[in-house]
Amino acid sequence: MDDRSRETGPGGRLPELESRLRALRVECEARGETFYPGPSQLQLAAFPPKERWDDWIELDSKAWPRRLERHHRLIPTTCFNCESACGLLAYVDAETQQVRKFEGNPLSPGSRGRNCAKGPATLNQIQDPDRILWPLRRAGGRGEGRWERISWEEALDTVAARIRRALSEGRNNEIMYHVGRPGEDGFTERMLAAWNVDGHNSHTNICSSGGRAGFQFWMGFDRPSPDFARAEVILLISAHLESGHYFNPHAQRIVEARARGARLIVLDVRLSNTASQADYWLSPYPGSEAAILLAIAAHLIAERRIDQDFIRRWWNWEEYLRECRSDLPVTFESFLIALDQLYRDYSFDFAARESGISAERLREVAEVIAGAGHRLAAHIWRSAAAGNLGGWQISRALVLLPALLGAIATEGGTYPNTWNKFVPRPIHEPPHPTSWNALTYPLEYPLGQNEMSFLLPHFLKEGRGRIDTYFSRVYNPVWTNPDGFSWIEMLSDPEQVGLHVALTPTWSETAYLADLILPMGHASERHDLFSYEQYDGQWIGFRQPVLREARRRAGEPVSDTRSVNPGEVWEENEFWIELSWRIDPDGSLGIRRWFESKVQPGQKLSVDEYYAYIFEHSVPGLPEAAAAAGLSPLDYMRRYGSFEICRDVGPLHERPLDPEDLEGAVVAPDGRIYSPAARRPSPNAAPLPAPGPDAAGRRAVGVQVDGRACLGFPTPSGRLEFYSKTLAEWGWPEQAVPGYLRSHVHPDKLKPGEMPLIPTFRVPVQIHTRSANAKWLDEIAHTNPLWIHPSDAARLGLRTGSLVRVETPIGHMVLKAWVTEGIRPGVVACSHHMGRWRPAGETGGSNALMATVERSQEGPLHRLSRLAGAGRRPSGSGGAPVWWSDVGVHQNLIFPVHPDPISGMHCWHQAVSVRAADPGDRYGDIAVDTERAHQIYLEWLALTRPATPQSPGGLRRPYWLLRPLRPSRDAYRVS
Amino acid sequence: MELYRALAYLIGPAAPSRPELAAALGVIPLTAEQRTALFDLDLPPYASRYLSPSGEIGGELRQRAAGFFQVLDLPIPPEPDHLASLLDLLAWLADGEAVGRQRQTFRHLRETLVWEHLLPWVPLYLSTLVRVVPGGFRPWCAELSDAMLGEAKMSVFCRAEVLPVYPPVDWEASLQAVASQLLSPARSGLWLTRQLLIDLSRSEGLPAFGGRVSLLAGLLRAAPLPTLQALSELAGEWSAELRHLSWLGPIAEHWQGLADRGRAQLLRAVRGGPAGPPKERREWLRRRTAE
Ligand code: SF4
Repeated sequence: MDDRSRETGPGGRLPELESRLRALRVECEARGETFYPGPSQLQLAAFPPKERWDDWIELDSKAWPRRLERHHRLIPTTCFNCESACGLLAYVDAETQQVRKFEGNPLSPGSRGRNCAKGPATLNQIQDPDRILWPLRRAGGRGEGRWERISWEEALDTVAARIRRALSEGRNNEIMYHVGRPGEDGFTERMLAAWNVDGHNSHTNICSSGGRAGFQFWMGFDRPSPDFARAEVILLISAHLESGHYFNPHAQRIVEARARGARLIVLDVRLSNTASQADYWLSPYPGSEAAILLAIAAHLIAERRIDQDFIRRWWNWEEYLRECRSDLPVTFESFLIALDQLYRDYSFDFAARESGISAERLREVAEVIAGAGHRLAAHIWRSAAAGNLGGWQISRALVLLPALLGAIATEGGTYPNTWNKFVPRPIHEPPHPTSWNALTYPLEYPLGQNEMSFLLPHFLKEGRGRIDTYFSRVYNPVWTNPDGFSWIEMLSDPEQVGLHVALTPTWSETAYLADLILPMGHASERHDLFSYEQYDGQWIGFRQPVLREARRRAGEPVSDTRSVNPGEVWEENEFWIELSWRIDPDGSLGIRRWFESKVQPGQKLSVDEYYAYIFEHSVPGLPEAAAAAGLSPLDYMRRYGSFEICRDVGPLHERPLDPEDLEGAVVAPDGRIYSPAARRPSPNAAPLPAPGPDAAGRRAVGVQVDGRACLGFPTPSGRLEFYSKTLAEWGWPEQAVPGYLRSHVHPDKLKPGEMPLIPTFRVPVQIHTRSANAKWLDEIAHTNPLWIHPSDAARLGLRTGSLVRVETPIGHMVLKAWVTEGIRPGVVACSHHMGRWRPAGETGGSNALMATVERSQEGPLHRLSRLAGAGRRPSGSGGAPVWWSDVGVHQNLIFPVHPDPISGMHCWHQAVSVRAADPGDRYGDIAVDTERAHQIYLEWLALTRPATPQSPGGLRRPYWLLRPLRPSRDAYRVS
Repeated sequence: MELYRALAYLIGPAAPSRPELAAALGVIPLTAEQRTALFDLDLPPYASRYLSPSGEIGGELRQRAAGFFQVLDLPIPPEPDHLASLLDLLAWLADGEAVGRQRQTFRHLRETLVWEHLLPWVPLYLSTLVRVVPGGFRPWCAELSDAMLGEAKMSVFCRAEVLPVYPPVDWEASLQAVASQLLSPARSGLWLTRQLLIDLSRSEGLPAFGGRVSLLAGLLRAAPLPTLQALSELAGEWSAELRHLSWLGPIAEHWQGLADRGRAQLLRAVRGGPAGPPKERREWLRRRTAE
């Protein structure tokens, strides 16, 4: 063929064909169809097209070399391992009705068909030979390790009777629900509200409160939603490519941006997987991150490489000048001068001295950030914000950079999380609880970002209260929290905790101390509904018991998830509904009505009706999409597992106010707009901060900017709060603007010979207690040596594999050294997720992936010594038998609590002494003095500035700040 | 770039099931029987088939294609050297080039893919395919051919030195092996379709069964001289036709060289063997063809 005759250039035949095909594809995908159906090499992916999910054929790999075809139903659900909630497709064998494997759900808008190793390893979890299959009751004393199987009836009646009695006697605050991995957005909060119990307790203050607080003081929202995929510069103070908040969905977008040419800056003391991919890896001295960020900010300000118009319009600079610089006129020009003066001392030389990174290097990075313009996507999660005293200021200093550049809610910039989240309004909404639980929100921490969960043993020790019924729910505080021996003391004492109910899929160090163990399902064995901010869009994901759905499609509807789960494993939604009915069987406590059917009043609400209602009434666009596919909204979600409500949400703060809100509205002198109009219910019930009304009781609805009435931010001022009046009024005026606080592990505060220990990092294949019984994952990573720099190792006479003793003020542990240049000199690090153990003599489960230990106690002195490692799991449970015995060392036991006096975050970093192990030391030895641990708690408690009757409004806490379960307004009063 | 994906989809492993896509390209999709005849028996669309010395699918050539995916950290498709896989990769690179700051990198990768993995064989493949393909599928050939031309024109470099050079057909080998080597374009310079061998067999009054190797071996055994004669004429025509692909530059020259070398070899064989006096040559031919 002579090809020279054909046209290929602009206007030629090929461009025309290209645009025709593109249009066709858009049209086709708008109908929800796959443009290239069929098992295919196309798109560089091989997802089964959704049209074939009902009968997907694959060859049985185990039958090789025979070509044995297996028919599957592909049923979507959602990973339950980390907070990312990636979509999964369960391959349910048509013949055996069992799940053969899990792969990614290509229709999930967040994860787009991809998973990390933990997603497919869900198969290990559901097939775990050690899992708990029946309700169990303690047969001997607590922690003795003897159990008897009981019926669900008995378990439910025992718990319900106890709660009913507590509620009837007004002891509502003695009921506590303590959550690890959250399930459905808002479900248990509503359940507790229905019980009129302020008993929600989360793990957040040992996880992300430091990061969240910095965001919340700035913008009202407590998390960012960076638009990584479209960013020019990505700035991370976290390990997003391996364990970030939202690990896989964020990591894949960061990778995309990198492929496009975006630059990645990572601040991490350790050479993490993420740091290894960075264009700029800065390994600062721990806790000095804010000094670096402020030096960069000072550079941007001094050189006026900032978006002045954005700052003028959206920062509360006038409030700052009025409150802090009465010497200056309230003009934007004088604010810029003030800003200059405020940060002038944060030079690159200063930051270099604090961080140990050269001033030239910092300047280079500052230039890269300056060049990002509106496309700077920044995130901090756990890491430095969770490690240091004042870590929340690192987060606040991080937000300062996109706020200076105007990269807030811009394409490629940093969005507030809630704008990219959709929590559909549920079928019932019980009112706020009327009491305040000071065990979770004590007066000392009025600004605590979340519940002061990790201080519970100390509060009970001090006699601040007792707990009648304590639910640990997919949570293992003995192992996960700092100071685990204090938790063991608390959970062993029936005077402090009357009944401990562990809702868990797997055995854990905490479950061993429970009175009742109730088996709960994994990702493919339960219902949940959720939405996470993973890009500039809103979507919902559905977790479902896949075998229940498989049966339904086969024409055998199931109404109780227990009947398809292994043993008598249940799901929580059905459990809580049933329990609530038993607490209030005749409805006299006013609880039952929140768990009743709307279709059949007086009957129990089923999960099918619950979700059918939500999908029909509260998810815009879903009923239409379902109808177009010839399905009911519930069946649509059962079939596809997720739904995208919208994308490209954009800068909502600029959105004009609704005319209804403007009717009768007044504009306060600071520009805040207050409206007499009642709040109109929105289908999106995502929790929002609640800035207070004006003196006349009108609602804060927006803010006036350049004469325009805009939605603004949910902060008291309606703007981005560079200056936080809340911090100033609640006792911390010196911290009211982004600043630098010297960490508790700052060199000035270390004793001779001490080094900071970084204990906060995850390995990508592990996720707390939940992954410990996933053999595939343990095979990849199962131990946690101490990272130590060669120079330190040489000084201490250590080599890789040497036994090393690490001492904190409350005790010590013995582990192995790993000599590496991946950590800065003078600092050591150790991963959490490791060191799982079971006491010798415990009969629950065989737990072949845990070490067997001997635990002893003499007064406040606790010891743990390893009797045997892992390694008894037979084949047939996911490949070859366990070949390793080392499972690492449980480091969190030797950490005293370090509550940040403002955010309430546990400041994880530790000042430790490191030396070669003593002659008698054995690997895995741990010793702790809980009396000393309590003294350290008291030392940190003394740093607080408590709420008093003289606090603003006489409140325990600013009402506008978020709380997962918000009590009624009256309950906020200190009296 | 959707065009490449769409073109790939129509020759992918499964029968296409989106008629509007084919219609947009002006193509009538192949029936299952036609797909089998063309892509399984006659002209399998794999780089390794045409660029490897054995003419077999797989092996080192496939590994090279897999390597391209691997260095880009992309999942390696089951058949990385299949034309559909390579076109899909080209689409991905073209998309990458269209956005972002790494345009230059994507451009470079795209040109590398085009010159190292596509242009060395695809235009010749299409020239051969168009002779045997049903009329309704010819627009597919034309569109891809146009697109390849476009890619070549856009390129700032060409890397013909990567084309493999292998020893010519070994006439001392067994009849079966000689047939195999003649069917390997990389050795013989010839692009022989099964249909052509069927036609030759029929014109010689021979049964036309089996795959290409057995058809050609049968022809060499039963009608050696007419077969060699016909093949040498084909080589000549092919060499002339390659002049139309001169836009391929050194690639076209390379193939033309191979075709000329093949033709010369065939002519020598017609004259009685690779070397020596005529009688001995005739004996050689008798021995070769009697096996
Ligand atoms: S564990 Fe992995 S697959 Fe599961 S939700 Fe998290 S990132 Fe996704």
